[in-house]
Amino acid sequence: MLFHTWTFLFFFLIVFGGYLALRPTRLWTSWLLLASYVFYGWWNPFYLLLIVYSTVLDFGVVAMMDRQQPGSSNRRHWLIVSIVNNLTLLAFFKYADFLIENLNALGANFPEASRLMPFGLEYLLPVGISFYTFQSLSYTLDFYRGTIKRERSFVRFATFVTFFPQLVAGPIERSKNLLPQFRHAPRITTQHLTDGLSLFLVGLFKKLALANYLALYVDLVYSAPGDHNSIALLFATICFAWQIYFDFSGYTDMARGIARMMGFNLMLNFNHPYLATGLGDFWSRWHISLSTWFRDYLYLPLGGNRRGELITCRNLLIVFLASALWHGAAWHFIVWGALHAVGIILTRTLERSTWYREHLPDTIKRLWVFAFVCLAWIFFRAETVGEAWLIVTRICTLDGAHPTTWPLPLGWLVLAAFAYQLSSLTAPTRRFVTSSPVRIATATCMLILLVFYSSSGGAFIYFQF
Amino acid sequence: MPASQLQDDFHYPPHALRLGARELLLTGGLFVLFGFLAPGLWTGRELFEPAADYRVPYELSNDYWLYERHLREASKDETAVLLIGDSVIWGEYVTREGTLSHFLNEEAAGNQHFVNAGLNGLFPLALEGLVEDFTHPVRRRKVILHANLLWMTSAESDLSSTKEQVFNHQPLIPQFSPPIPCYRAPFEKRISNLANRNVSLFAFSKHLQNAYFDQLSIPDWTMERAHAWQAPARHLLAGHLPEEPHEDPDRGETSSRHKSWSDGTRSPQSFPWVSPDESLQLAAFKRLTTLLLHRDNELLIIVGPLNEHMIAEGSLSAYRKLRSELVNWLQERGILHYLPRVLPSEHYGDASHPLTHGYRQLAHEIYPLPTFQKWLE
Repeated sequence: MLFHTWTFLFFFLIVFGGYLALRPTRLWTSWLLLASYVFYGWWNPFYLLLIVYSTVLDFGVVAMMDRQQPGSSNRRHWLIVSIVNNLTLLAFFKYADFLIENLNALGANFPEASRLMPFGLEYLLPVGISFYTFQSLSYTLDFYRGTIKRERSFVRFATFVTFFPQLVAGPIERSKNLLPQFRHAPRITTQHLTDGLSLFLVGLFKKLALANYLALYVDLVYSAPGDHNSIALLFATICFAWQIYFDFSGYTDMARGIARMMGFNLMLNFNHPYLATGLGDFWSRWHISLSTWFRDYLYLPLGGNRRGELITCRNLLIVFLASALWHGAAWHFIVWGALHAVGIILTRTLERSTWYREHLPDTIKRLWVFAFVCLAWIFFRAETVGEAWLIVTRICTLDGAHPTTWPLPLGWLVLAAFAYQLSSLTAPTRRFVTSSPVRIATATCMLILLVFYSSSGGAFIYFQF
Repeated sequence: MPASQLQDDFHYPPHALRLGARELLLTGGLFVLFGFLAPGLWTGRELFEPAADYRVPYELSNDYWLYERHLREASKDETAVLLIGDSVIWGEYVTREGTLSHFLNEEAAGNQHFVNAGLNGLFPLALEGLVEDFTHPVRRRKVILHANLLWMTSAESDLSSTKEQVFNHQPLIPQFSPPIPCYRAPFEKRISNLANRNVSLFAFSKHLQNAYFDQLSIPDWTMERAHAWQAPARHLLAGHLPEEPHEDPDRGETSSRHKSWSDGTRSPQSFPWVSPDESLQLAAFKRLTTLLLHRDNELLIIVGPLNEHMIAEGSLSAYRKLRSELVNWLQERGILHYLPRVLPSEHYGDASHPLTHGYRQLAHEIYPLPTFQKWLE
């Protein structure tokens, strides 16, 4: 069930109505849990088995940990059970095929009979598994560290793991932020409703009018990179940078908007990432919930930047490779992650220098960051590393064998996207953009464009992760 | 409420679009106003001067907004008599100068205006949806409704078979009730179809796509290489409503399709007619008749004439039983109806569509009938 469908609208109206009616009773969390299971089971009822298993196990693990003395080895063992269980589930469903494929490739000269057979799991990759396993895992990790208390209500915990607005594509919430919100029925004010509706409208527009439109061109060019010249490939790459931003941040906006209407606060996941003035800055603005997850549960436990330059570089490499693998089991994702890791490692010192911070104009910094991120996006978007490399070389060699074609409105769209983000930088443009008449005019135009200029499109890019 | 006054711990990126209650209401109001005004303003701008025998062009068969506009324009004429039906009324093998409405106009010699309100590809289940949602101007009018029993020749034609089928005008058929067993669209598609039928702005948007953007969504249209450097708005403002081609290779007496059904190798066929009690199409036709009557229209039903030359002897009795069932139903309700004589075999292009001469003969038979003349008065 996708947010931008009529089905979801009906689903939400029923859920919201029931939620408002049940808020004065103790049943409201059960109602949200039921709604979340229906929402998730709509894709495939078998997915529910997995999420229920994951939920029961982590709830049980924390209950067992709670019986042990803080700092005892038994607690540690239970934590390992949770980590191994969650990561095994993830590995089994996401990476088994990738592993088999690579083992088969290594043994390509062996007889056919000796090859490993794929499990056919590519047909059963549970939607959002990477998101909810990380969310559930954060609960056990936080409890182990003593930053949160044990949740005694299974229904509340299960609602935290499966909360439908953010279940399939985040933001990956932390137990200390979201779990306490399920303890008491949240207050719902007019502001919650208007905030929620505003966010939902923006997200819907980003997805249907912008991301889906950009996808038409990106898919066209990336499906046959050999048939397009360097300008078309470059433009398609820039389009993809905006497509993935609008697609993913659009989903997040809708998720936050839906939760907000019900009185819940979900964390900010994107903060004008293409205004970043450094690669580190980019990762503090892009998919914030995942970046901070890796920072808190992997980078800092590995030592962060406290154990010297070499260990810091190693930690960064590990974090970005893990992030790449989180996105998917494919070499092109690994190259994408490695590129970011190498980029950050190489520019860390530069970014800390006075020259970079004080003398280099921000416009140059933004341009360089955007260019680097786009280069990495090529590897993210392409189907294989070889295809990505072909695109990179064709762009660099200024191949002009084929005529350049791109839809004129798409060019304006990309320029408008840049202009809108840049308008947040100066006070007068910010004042103009946030003035009431401009906001009303913008929202009305968005609604009109949604009717006349949206393209029907499928799922969100991040659903595959 | 201005964004600066909103006090909350909820995090927003800088200068995000955040609307207060009043602003949201105003936005909604402006959008609704646009929804009401835009189609009307566009109607004033779009050149639409239908000729006497105008019918919705084949390419725009899915443009229900245009169909309704055609009816609205036609209904301005007090003497207009609307002929509603499927491709038999529309004229599958003939040009618009070869249709039943054209020959009725010839017979009437200017005393009445018979309007071709047929649409290609329709069938009773879809016609019901079309009349329900896109014929609002048709009230207190003289309406000739054509009953085509061809749709009951088999469970497949009747859409009552359980095997999934692909057919025209899916958005117009009942989406949920009564259930159509061979229609397996997902829930989302059905809701979307209902929305497109009931929200006039959506139908208007589809009209623009159908008429000006090659039946593509505007984003898809801009992806076509030929349109890459064209601005959609400019293209829309410079565009004209498509019309039927003057020389249609698929229709008219000079076209290769305009030939008698018996010219080829076809021989009479046996049809596994559906039972009148179980026919979905027949039930839809009855509901459609009731609906038109509820709108205070003066209704005349023309039943057939089906090409009985093409029906094998053994299956004629089942057909006649079905026809009697419909006629009895009409008689019981006092609904005026007429069963034209079967046309000569060579006047049919297939099992139900007459050719030009067939339509001429049909009009010549119907128009002078005293009952018909009385009804016209």
